[in-house]
Amino acid sequence: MSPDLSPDLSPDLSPPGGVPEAWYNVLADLGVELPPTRAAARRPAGPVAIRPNLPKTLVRQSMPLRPFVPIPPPVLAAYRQWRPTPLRRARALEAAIGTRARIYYKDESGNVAGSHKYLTALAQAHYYAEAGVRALVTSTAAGQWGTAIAAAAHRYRLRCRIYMVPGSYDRKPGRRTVMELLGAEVVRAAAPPGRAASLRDAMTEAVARARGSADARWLLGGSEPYAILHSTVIGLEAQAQLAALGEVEPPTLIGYLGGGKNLGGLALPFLRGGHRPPVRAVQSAAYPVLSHGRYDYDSTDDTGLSPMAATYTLGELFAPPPLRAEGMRYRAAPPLISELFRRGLVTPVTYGEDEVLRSARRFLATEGVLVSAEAAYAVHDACEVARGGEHDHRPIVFCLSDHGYYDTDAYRGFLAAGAGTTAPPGLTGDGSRTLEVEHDAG
Amino acid sequence: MTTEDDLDRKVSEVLAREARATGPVTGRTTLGEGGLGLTSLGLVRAFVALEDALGRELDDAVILAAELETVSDVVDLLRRPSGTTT
Repeated sequence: MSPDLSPDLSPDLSPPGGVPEAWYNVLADLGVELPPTRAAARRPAGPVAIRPNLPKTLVRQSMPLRPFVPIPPPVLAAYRQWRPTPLRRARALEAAIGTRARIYYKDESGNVAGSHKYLTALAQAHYYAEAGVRALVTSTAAGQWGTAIAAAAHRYRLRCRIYMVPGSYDRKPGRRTVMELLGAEVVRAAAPPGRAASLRDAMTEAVARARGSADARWLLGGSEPYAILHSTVIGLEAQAQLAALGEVEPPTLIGYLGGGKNLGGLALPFLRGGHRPPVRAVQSAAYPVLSHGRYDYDSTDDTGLSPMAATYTLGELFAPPPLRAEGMRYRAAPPLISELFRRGLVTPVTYGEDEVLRSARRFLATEGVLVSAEAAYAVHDACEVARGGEHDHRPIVFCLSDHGYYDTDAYRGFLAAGAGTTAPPGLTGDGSRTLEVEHDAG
Repeated sequence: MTTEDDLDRKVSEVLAREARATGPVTGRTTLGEGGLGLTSLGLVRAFVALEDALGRELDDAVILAAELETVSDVVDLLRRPSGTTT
């Protein structure tokens, strides 16, 4: 059995068929401290007094203190309702693309939010509730984060208000409905005069709302190190599952580059013990933050009100182009992933959206799962790696971070643009399986 | 036992270290812009360092309910009985 996969797992990290009872802190394990943050680029109007926004526990989890952080019992109980998540072999996809590589996907879509983001949402809601906060305020673009926070707030009996980007609010009524069913108040973010509202506007409105309420806090934790830490149960489970399947080769690990939770959640536990498996951060060609960004201080979110962190960034003047994968629309990489990239532990790869969505369509046709537009980037890279020939008879693991059933507008746009007027790739050449696909001229 | 003078001194030392301040730090020094330049996140990190320096656990609920402008505000918060959990 490979030392990469299981022998150094302590019992609480890989209980048989169970859920790890601790998160993995890669900063502590590598002895790395992230550079200190700097004051926000913009100054909030009002008093100069500082109002702490984060529970200390979350700050401690972003520091290189302990390699393993015990998961609080209430959070672990919630995890056990849908975990461990399945690690599936994509045999039909392998056959369709003609690879001899073994492609696995860690399916994180099987929870109320349909997303890996529920992992940290639960943890953050728990710590805020413990700290006496009674209401959570956040913003959401595609809606996965909002749904995850709504569900977590409901579990801990917290009030919840979510500011949603108008485009998503209008195009994704399913998301909004689920958030409201969970008790959240969903607000269509106000559009500034003369232009459409962006996520930045939704965030700014959420921050202002939280500042004006004594018992509410704005959750900034989409790409913070502690949010990635909470996601490491993905990789800890995957290690045990690969070992149980008899995989002895270190896998190539793949995740899309957004807030870093799915990528880091899957890959970071595999770095334990000094191992260095290939870790591929899949970027959008429209936002090549790691490969084309400069290492500098920038805001960790789009409000300009949060502290600035050292990160790879395309710069404040970068004009953000539209992207169907809303979760990848930010000009800067997460600080933790930036630091790992600086140390050569992460390799960025870049693709355009049409080729990515074609692979997602192939995945739907072969494996029967519609992935989110963001997860489609990981699907596509897994296919590209598998096709390359260098991975014959070797394992590839990608994070199926979110399903796409609430997000069909992204695929509707893909079809409408003419990119999807032929049969799903991978099924052509087999006339008996070719699907008829309507062309949407709209 | 930490005396009041000790507490003042330790708080100033920890805040100065966390802020990487080069000048003198007194009770009237502001925590944010124009003073130590701490961010909200930096201040919470400073509370973590204070817990370690003082050997006591501080109550998150008290910290999150506070609005703090100067070094003296931090000292006052730490002097409150409710500023510490058991």
